[in-house]
Amino acid sequence: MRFMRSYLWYLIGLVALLVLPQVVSSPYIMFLLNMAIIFVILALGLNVVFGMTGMLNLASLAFSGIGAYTSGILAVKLGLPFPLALIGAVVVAMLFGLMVGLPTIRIGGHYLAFMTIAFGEIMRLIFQNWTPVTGGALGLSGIKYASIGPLVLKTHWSYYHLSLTLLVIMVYVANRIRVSKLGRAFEAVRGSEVAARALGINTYYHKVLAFVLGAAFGGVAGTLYAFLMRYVDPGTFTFEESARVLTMVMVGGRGSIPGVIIGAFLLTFLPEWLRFLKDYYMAMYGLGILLIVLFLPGGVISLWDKVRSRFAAGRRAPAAQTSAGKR
Amino acid sequence: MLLSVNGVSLAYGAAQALFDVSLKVEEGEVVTLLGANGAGKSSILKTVVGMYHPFAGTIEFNGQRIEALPTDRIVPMGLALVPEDRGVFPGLTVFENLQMGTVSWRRRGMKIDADLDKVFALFPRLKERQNQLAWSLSGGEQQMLATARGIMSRPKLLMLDEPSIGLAPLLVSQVFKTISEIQKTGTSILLVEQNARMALNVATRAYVLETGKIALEGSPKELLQNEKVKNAYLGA
Repeated sequence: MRFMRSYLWYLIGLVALLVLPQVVSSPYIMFLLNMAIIFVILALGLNVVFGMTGMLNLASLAFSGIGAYTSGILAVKLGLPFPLALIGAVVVAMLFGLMVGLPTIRIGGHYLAFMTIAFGEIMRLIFQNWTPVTGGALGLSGIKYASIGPLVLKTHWSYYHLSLTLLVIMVYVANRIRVSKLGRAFEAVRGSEVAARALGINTYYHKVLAFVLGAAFGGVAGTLYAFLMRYVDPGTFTFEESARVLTMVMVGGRGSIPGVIIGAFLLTFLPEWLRFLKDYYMAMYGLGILLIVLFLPGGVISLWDKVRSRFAAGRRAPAAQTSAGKR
Repeated sequence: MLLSVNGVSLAYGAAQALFDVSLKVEEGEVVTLLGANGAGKSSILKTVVGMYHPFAGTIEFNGQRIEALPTDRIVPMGLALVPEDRGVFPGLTVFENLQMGTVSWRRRGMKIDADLDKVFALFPRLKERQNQLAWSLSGGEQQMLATARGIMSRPKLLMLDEPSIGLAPLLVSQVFKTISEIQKTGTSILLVEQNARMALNVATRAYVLETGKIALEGSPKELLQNEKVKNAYLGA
């Protein structure tokens, strides 16, 4: 019952996203929709690492950068088509996740956050300076239009269907992780590491695994980005953007997959909606986020829970707060 | 002999926490470990379950040496620790929390219904609340959940770290009643407590720990009459 209901909401969201390109006429808005999807995938990855497992990773963009450069290089230098470049990017991103995760996660806590910042900076410098491979400061250009078989995706509209397909897959994967034994173990590690260990859960293994899975989401997002822009610029993969992904997770609702999706869309489009404020728009944007974090610590999605529990309380006795519903 | 700790010494960096500690738990016993804050009670439990490794001494569980093993190898042997802060997983439902208790033994396709019936018989409250997220439980219910989750791991020895802490008096006696009931199901218990009087009432044997050393050992009767114990722990 619970799953039927949540899948219903996903279905409604999907229909809305399918109808949207029919009414959008501006290529720029289509571009933003593609970007929003890329950010949703990144935020879903961070949600596995931070939202479910409780590790603060401030290098989301480094992993998407690895994905973007890997797929870009595979496409430009080896002439691989999109699907193969995607697989390559995901594998390489996961390898980097493993490489960074194995030593840093043992340290844990706030140190992990600092280590990820350092890793992000190192990766940015590598992207910028390893000219023979990454194209250096000029970036990596010459990526051909993404094509699936005979289908060449030349416009933002056609590309959007590729993005949307990958979004559906990644939302499905994120949901599978959450409801699986693995997801429960992640949630347990976040809830109480001591208790999780005391039950015989290998917390180190699960944390590294969460980190590697999060990196895979980065690989997918990076590949989508590289083929959307058909150019990879080292200036894209900054700490500021990683912080933005974190804000998406927090504003949407840490740990909640629908919340994270809403957060990523909201924070991609909010700056556009605020553009009429001219010079003040960034200040308003910051203020808005501040208000959400202050008054809705559970994120925008918690608003829904509040409304629902009030509604339920009005109809029935204000009994137990069953967030999970009947099994 | 279910558990025997022999001459264990433990240090956190340069600070030594346990000095030559020896204790044992026989099958079917409820052994309680008394002592002031910082005496090293929790350190002993965490060392037994492999979260810390002693620099001297041995630990045997069910005839096997375990002092060098990691926690995830020890727990499947039948040892469970219910930690001091209860450590329920707030983002999981009561049911999911209980499921987490089974990770040490459960393989694909194995049923847990009998285990659930057992803990729900001990804690009917949890059955009512099984679909509720754990953070929404009261302190007493969280203690029930943490204990139940420990039982779900099918332990031969259940170690409880201050199960009565922070609970209202009525709930405290409930906790100790449950401990006796768990003992009746054939599970041995190693109980760390500050509430000495209650602990000695349910225990079959007791140890008193002072600054990392075992200071006293005996039957609850002996300790209840011991002048030192009376003054220091019973407030008489």
